[in-house]
Amino acid sequence: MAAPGPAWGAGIAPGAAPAPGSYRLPCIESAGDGSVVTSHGEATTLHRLYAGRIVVLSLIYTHCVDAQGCPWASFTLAQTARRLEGDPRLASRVRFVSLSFDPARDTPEAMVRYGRSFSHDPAWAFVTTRSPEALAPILADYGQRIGPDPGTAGGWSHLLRVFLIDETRFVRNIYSSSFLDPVLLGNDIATLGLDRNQDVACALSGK
Amino acid sequence: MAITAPSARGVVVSTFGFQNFFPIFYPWAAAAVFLAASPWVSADETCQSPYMAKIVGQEDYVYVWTLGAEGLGDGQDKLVTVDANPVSNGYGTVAHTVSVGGRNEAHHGGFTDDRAYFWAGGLDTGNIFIFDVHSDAGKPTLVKTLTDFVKKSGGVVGPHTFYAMPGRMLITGLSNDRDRGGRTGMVEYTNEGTYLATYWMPIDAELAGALKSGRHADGYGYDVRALPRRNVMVSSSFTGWNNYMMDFGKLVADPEAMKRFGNTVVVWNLHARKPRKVLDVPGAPLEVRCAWQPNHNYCFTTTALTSKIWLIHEDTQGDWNATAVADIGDAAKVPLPVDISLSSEDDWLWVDTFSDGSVRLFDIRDPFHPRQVYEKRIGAQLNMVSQSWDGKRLYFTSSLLANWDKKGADNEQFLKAYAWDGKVLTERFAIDFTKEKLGRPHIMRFGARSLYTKAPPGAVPIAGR
Repeated sequence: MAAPGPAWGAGIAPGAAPAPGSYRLPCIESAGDGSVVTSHGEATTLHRLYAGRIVVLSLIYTHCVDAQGCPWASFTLAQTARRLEGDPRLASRVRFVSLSFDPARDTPEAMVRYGRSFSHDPAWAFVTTRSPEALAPILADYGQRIGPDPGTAGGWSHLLRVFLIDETRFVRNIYSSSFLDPVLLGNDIATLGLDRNQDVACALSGK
Repeated sequence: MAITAPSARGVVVSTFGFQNFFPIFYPWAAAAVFLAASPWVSADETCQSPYMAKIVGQEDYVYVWTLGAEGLGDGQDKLVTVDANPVSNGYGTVAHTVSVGGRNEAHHGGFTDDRAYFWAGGLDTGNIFIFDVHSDAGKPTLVKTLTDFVKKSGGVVGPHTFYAMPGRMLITGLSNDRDRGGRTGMVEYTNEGTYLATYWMPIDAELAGALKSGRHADGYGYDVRALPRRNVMVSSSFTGWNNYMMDFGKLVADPEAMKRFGNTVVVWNLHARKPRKVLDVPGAPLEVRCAWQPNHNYCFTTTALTSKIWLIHEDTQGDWNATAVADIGDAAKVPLPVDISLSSEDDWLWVDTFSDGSVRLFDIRDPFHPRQVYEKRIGAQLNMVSQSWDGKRLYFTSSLLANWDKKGADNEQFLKAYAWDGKVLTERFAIDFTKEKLGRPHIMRFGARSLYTKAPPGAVPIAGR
């Protein structure tokens, strides 16, 4: 079946995205925590990685063969990171986290190899978990539903999910395939960067 | 007359691999299901959110959100699951019902973006019922009831459209708790049922940055649809609780009440959730359907009281305007267009009219000049229409509102299924909702078992909510 129109990832039309700071992002929910392992093999937690930064969390697995799936998410994050290079002050407040939901194959070494394809910036953490048991509560917290994909050996069926998390660890936006766009994501990051008062409001909201 | 049947041409998004289509679902179902998550896709399966998984093959079930009728069965609103797969032994029969404990003026509903849950609203009580449709697609269960929608939203009454956003639900209102008139807003929740925000429709005193382009900025609401690639959301306008809960005969005899209908369509900044422009569309514009194709920057709506098709379209300067492009039947006879269904190629538009119980098909390949090519009477009264992705199957229900439905013998309450061969509609089955003691059937949404096939033994459990 041929898909008409622009190639995947064309996303929002040029000029159609609202300017940073011209809108507010709602306090969606408190961002979950969980035990993870960095690509250096160090045990840590998501909240330690977040460390008071604006975080873009992407749930992926490295064997994902769909060019419009996890690779697309990582590519979009890389594009967004590149856009942030023009604003070093804001960039210093941002951390990207790519978390695998395939701990059996995505060892720390595998995450290193995967991460090299997208970034050499140490602020972008490529992390995994020790076991499915360690992973399950994280997936539950973030509403990421996965299941085995018999169409590809060892593949996982999943709805692409990327989360924007503010400096007080509140989820402020959720992106799926059709909504993940480097311009929108970059503008959302800048919007959070401009409005710390709203972060406080989220922290006080009790959600 | 011979016309080309809506075909599968251009049906969605081959640029997706299966693993992304089936978040919770499993790709051996791939023949039946796609995730139409492309930003340039929206409509039925047809009128669903572009952020949601879609069934492009044979549906197994039709879920019918049904108003309870006093003295009929248990009298409660209920979600009725109808077996719609021709290879099933139960084809054309009621597979399951789940009642919600009372009458709420059941009306519209919609799935979350992961299609795991179906949210359905009551226009009278404001209650919102959340059904689990993924654990057993043939036997939905009621898992949560939100009873504080009005309070949480700051006074929005009448939850109507349930529109899936990534991880969230956007709900349009019809009224408010101060005067029960038409001023209202849109309300956003997380998929888990946590209130997030309320966006009030613009009025003269509170345009909220919107441009009032004509005579009206009435603040009324009804339906909403999005064109994500244009960062645009389009909302329409109906009437408030005082009118939609009033007896229809009494309403039309009350000239003052008849003045209180919406006359606007609002174009929004989708991402910012801010109104951009208020357009005059007189006569209660109801359902909104935005085009699917990547270069089609327009949406359709129809006006209930003036019986016209309107095109909401973007010009070459990026400005949005509204143009009346066709009449629906004879407006003097008040056919009352209620629901519309757009084909996946943007070529055809089905239009249901309540009063004459008929459906009309318009050729909209030139969206500025729709041309009626087919008409069929479905019953004594007619409301909703839903078509399969390939346009080959259409389903119709009869009920508009409890107090607006016809009386006596004309108060037919049915679900009817038809096949469309490009020339004629042929009835496949019908269910008499009165005879079955079910109530007044309203909105329909499709289900497929293959969406929710369980993980094989030994697999990592699917994460729950």
